[in-house]
Amino acid sequence: MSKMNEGVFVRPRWDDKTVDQRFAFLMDYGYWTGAEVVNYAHNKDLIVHELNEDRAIRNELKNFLDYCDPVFFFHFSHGGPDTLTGQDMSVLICSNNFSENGNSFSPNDILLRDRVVYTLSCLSASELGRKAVEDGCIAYIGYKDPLWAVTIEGFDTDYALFDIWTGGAKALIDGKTTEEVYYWLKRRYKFWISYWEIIDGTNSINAWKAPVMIMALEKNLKGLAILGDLNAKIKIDD
Amino acid sequence: MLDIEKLSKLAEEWYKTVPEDMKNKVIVSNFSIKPMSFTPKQIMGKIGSAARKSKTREEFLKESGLCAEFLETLEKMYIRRTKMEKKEGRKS
Repeated sequence: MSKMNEGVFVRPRWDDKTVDQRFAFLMDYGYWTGAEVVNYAHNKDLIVHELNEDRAIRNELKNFLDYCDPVFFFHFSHGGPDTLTGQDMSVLICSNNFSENGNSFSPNDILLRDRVVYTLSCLSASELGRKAVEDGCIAYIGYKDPLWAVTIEGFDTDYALFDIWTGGAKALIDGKTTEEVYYWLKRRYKFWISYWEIIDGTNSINAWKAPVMIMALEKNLKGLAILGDLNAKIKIDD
Repeated sequence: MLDIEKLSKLAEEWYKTVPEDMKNKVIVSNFSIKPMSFTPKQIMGKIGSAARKSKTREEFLKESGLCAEFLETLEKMYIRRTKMEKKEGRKS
């Protein structure tokens, strides 16, 4: 039985893809988002464990989970249908056998057993999430399609995605069920889509951003997935 | 559904509204293992090249790759605006 009111936050960061706007690299957006969730978790008295940057690797994660056993698993990095990545795009968790640069990795999605997963990454809910739930993961909130970030700087552009992505994790930390979080996320995506539909077609100097935002928001909304127990929580009710 | 010419025109009209200092900046990117990212100029380049190679709308969208979804968003927004304008016209 994993420990309630406790979470591990896996937050790799490396120079992945040049963006050169609010941040230099795409992974910086993930790190920014994760930092907000970690701060919130501290303020809400969740027991926080962090595996950041060089510690966000497969062996460290295994060793950590052998020692601590938190119910909440937060992750923000690149992903594929059967993979969540760690530092420098290394294979952190996979649900199939994997070979890369002469190394082979066997499936380790069992590490997610007895946990509630909230991952911000591409595609992993399509295969890995499904397999993890079959193998005992309590619930998996992630994306079955690519996860898109708009990197235009602004409170209603890159910050809108920050608002959605952090908000879902914060709701779990607040004690909401996975189903409540899933519908909160859907409502928030829809709110921002409506916001940009209002700006579209106006003579606002921001109107050019509308199709970019609407495309990303709609794609992310379509890809959002919840698997496993809809009534799962990471906090014991007070 | 709009044809290649009209879709290309929508994209060109959009591009004209992008501020000059943003045309070469990454505006959208994803978190896949092989991450994709686009600047407005790259989007237009991909769309222009797809238009030159294609004879049908289907070919055009296929050739546009990930930019096809951007074109479809522009189309959807255009149809929505046109409907609303018609509605407003009927009211006045």
